[in-house]
Amino acid sequence: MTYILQFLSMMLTALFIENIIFTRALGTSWMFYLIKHPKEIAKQTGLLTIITTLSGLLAYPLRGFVYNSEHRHLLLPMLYIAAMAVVYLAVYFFVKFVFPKQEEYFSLNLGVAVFNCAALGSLLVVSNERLDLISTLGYGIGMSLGFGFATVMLGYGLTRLEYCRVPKIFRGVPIALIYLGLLSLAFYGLVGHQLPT
Amino acid sequence: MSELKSCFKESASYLFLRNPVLVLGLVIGQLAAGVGTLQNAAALSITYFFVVVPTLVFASLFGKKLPGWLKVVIYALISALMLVPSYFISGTISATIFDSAGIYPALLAVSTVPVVYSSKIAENQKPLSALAGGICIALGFAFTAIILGAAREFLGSGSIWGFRFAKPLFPAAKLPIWGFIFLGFMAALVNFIKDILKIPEETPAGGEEAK
Repeated sequence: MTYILQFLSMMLTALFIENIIFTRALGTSWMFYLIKHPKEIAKQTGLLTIITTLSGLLAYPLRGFVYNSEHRHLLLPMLYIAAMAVVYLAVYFFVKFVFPKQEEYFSLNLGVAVFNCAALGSLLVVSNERLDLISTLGYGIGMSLGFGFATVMLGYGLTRLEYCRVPKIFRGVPIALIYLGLLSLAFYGLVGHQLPT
Repeated sequence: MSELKSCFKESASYLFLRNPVLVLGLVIGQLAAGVGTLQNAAALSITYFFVVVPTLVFASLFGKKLPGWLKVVIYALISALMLVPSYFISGTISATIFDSAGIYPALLAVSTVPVVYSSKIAENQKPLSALAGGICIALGFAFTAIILGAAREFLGSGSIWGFRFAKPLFPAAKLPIWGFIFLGFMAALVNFIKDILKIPEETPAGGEEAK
């Protein structure tokens, strides 16, 4: 029961309080791509969850080797990218041999779902905070779901903005960034933070 | 030599008018959250240069010979390896410059340009074009990072490159939230200049170039 509660509390923390987009800005460019392709949001969030969980599981026993190195800021990401490469190959060959009809979709989309800032960032955050295995899994899943949640919220807002008379120079990237900033500010206040003075 | 010159001429638009961050909407997160000071900007710019240029040149030389499913892994591993020289070169500027930027320099290894742009665009380019494109993309990123880093450090801490010479005007400027907002206004400024010069619009974030 304790483990379940620990898992859920870490998942909810990552989903809302430390949302991957609103507090850490990880995977923002990928999120903007997904907003333009809404049918992909659920699939890519699911893939991200699988990749983060599997990479976290694979890298968890290995990260102890580089924790105490003075170059751990360099070695940890390299270790995680190698773990992500192994997970990519495992998932690709699993799909190729078990679900051959899905191979085309996966060969086009799996690379982006594995090698992105959201996946690597969530692994690095977890290892920097030195979480145990249960918390690592909870945090990783919560971060992936938080990515999907933020994408849906931002996509909805940006769709509404298309009906507004936005000044010409603010159309496109500028208004999307300002809207993302304001939404992040709202979340920042919602979870109880105060702006530094 | 003249070929290299013409390649740079073609790619020069990445510096400003097709800036990878402000116009194409790439690498936004690392800048918004990772560049709070000018030193962070320097660390990220050096890392981005080392990550982008060799990966794009490699993609243009060998990309078509690699099987499709393996390309992205090879590109990600090359850019991860290129973190090593960027780490040590950043260290020559300041011992803690790379570490102080947190997780963000490392995230550049899996950003859109080395992972996706390399297989979608650089593979179809000649090595010289890929080299010029990579250098100009990295310089465009550095241009944005340095302006953003200097502005946020000055507003947030009243200092530039760690040298304090004024009271902090707006301490919250260092939060990622304000990174997004500053970048939004910088992108609007680029649009304003393009509007004055009557330059047609580019594919923004989420366009095909973003994936």
